[in-house]
Amino acid sequence: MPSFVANGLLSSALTSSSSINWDSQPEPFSSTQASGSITNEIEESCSDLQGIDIISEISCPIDLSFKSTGLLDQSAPLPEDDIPHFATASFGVPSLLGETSLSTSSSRSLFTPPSGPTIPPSGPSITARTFDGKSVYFRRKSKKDIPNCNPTTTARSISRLLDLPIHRMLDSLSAGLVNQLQQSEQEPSSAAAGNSPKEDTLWVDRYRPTRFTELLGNERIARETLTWVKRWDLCVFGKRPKGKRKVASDDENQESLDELHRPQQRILLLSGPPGLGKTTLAHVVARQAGYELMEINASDARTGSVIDDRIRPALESGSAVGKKKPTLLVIDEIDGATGTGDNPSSFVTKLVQLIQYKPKKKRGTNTAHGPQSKSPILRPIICICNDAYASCLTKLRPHAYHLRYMRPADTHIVNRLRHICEAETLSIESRALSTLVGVAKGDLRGCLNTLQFLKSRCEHVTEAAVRRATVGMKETDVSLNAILTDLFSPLSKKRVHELGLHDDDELRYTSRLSTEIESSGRESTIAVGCFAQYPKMRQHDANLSRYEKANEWLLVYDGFSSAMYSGGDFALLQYLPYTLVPFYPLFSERCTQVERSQEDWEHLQLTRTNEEIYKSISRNLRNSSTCDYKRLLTSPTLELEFAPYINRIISPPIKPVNSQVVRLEEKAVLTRLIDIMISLDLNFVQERTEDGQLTYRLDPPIDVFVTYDGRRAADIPVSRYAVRQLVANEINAKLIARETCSASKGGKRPGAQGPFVSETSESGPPNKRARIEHEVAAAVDFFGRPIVRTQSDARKDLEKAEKKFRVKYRFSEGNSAAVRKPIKVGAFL
Amino acid sequence: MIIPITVAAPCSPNLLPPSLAKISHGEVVLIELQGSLNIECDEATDRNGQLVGILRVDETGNKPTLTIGHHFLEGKVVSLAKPIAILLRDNAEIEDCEHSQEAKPWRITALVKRKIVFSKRPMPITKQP
Repeated sequence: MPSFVANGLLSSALTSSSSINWDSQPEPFSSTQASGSITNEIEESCSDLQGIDIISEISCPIDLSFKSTGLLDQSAPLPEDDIPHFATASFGVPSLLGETSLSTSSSRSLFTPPSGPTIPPSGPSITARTFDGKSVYFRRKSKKDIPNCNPTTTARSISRLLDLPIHRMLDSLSAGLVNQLQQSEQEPSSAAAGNSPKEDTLWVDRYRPTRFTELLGNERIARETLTWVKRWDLCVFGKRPKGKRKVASDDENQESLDELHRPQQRILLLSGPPGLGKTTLAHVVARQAGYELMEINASDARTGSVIDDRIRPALESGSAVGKKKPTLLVIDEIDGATGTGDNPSSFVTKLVQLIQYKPKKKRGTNTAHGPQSKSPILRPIICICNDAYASCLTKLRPHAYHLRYMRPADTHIVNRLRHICEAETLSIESRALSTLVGVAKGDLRGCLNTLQFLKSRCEHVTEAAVRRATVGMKETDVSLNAILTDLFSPLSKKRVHELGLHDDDELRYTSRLSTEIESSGRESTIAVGCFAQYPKMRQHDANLSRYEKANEWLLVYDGFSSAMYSGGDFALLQYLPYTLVPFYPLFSERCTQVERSQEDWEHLQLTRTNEEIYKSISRNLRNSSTCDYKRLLTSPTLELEFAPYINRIISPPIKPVNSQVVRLEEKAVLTRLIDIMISLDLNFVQERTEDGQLTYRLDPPIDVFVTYDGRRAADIPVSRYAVRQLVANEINAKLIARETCSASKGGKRPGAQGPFVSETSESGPPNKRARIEHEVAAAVDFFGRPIVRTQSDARKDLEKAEKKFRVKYRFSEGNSAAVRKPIKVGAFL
Repeated sequence: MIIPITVAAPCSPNLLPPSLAKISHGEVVLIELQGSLNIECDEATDRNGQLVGILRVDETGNKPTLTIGHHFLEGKVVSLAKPIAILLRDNAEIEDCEHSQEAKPWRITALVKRKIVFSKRPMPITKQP
């Protein structure tokens, strides 16, 4: 209450409850109506209304400040001419309040019934008198109905309420009244009552397509989406999709469905520029196919835990609580989900895990149904994004059925807009419409919002008005390719026309391009693109001065960015776009389509793998027993001197013949080669290529350093399969020999005789060669069976010996003292 | 009855391998197994001179191990509370004595003062192929 007294407006109401100046009361409402109901921002007006509600709640004890609305209700039978006009002018707001279902307790309880003003109610009441002498009765409210509210909020809202002085409010009220009257003259059919519900929804919502046939453009995409959703029918509804071509397409469908009758790609990815109706398409298709739609906006709920908390329960239960239809999940703005890369808890990674989960075999399902076990997803998921090639979607893309939403033809959009304008009785030039579509780049939602905005200002829609209205329209989501194209090619005449630029404006490129680059926020990628593109530009330039300049600018960029990222001087960030803008005057003479090459990325990947190989080499060398090579491990020496030459060293000219028949000098070469390779921990590993051929691969693959463009260096002989096989066998034999050698050194062998000893000595040093030969022979065996001649012979002999005499030890459990008993000597005698 | 017992000179050394000689050289050691030996053979005489197992003693001389067939036993060297004497009677003399019903002459071949006890559960081992 003190807050009311403080602002002074309602003090009269407090002091003299019997006679109230009614003029002051409607002011707040009418001012809100004047500003709120005409503009597009319904939310804003709603928030204003909420503020008023709070006031009304506060003023409940006196029961006067808000009861005035009851007086001015249209249904109240008031004879005077002034007041009904007043009512229509000011009462857009309460009805709007009802429309938007924001009715709070106060608005419910405080509106008096229509009979209120004339008949005095039975309970305790207050009498009020209008300024022309008519008396009104108000029922006093009981105290318990008053919702207690925070005084601070009321103070704030009241101070907002009184931003304008009263006379200004009165002026705006009368102006609004005049406007309203004019409009009601223009459209007699939809008079005062019909006017208010029109303004409470966005045109976008009002003209949103609700049926499949109402969708605009992209018919093929819409049909494919519906087809994809229909393919879930067998899984979700348990019936085959109906259709005329059922018999023909049945087999194909059968093939592409998995064991749970789901399509192979369990996610549909819809991508396209904003405002074209992707979300609408998803809604319409879901309704058409008989699903209940569940929408999750990934830009709001962007953590991976959402998958576990909301999506999985929704999809597993099949349908929402109280709904009969099955759920179809729509994940909107999925490119806004956080967590790029391999973070296992990121949204996209979790989603991929979710859809990839394989159902268990029947054997497993019976036993392992603990609380942790997850069941497979049986409901379709549609993901919507603007940029399908955003980095965070990399993992999702291979699992998704990707449909790209294109901008419909301008004429279709213009036609649709014209229909809407006719329905809204908005007169508009068709030129203005096409300009609007051009500026908005086909963004239907943006067009509609602009039109509604223009309508709310009661402007006649001309081209100039459209231009003025779309000045601030954001150039959203310009792809990197588009920026590069803009940098390297002049503005197309069409675009110049669309933007309504003059010749002078066209020449002023700096701010246009720098804003474009800056808004993308990926300067480094653009710089790399420029670096890749500018040598390809074929310019007539004898002394290469343009290229030189471009190079200088790149150097400047590099200097800045390195100062930023390594020196931490981020104040330079704002200058970075300007270092890239000069490519426009230097190279934009012809129209060229810039293709962003992936070479930069590929080379980065290659560098990483090669570094990994170098690391493994140096690790091997460090671990190896011979320390001769360790001084080669320093960074430039390893790459420049060691790796190229070792490839030549380990590729001596050897003929692929059997190891038993090689000549003496070749044998020497071979042993030397094997020694080197063992000491460097190199080996040939057998692998099967994609076409099924066996190859031997060098491991670690240091031969990549002498392979250029898929061909080895000319001075290194081609290493053939047979040679590599020979070498690999020899290396393996040597390694085995070394192992057994070290094992025999470590183990202690007693010099006793017997079958055990003879057996162990077989694997000892004297028989080593026999074993190795045997292994080499096994590799060339005709049937590929292992030959175990020597061993089987030995075993046979052993078995013969053991057949006659075999000793087994049987351990007796328990304490040995328990079975001991005294025996007299006589027992032995 | 008085049994004539003669004490023989200690038997000739160096019959044992050097590692076993560390436990006792020229002294007979009792081997006590908690269990029994099952011997498969066609005839009783077949087992003469056959190998039962391999006894090994480590360098410190107090950790003997025994390998019998697929079993590996670990034991310990224990001194006997009462030494045991091994008495032997010559075969020729036995026949004579049986005929003549005279007192049988016995000969102490060795004294057993220590034994190796294998009381633990044997570990199964596999032979190297």
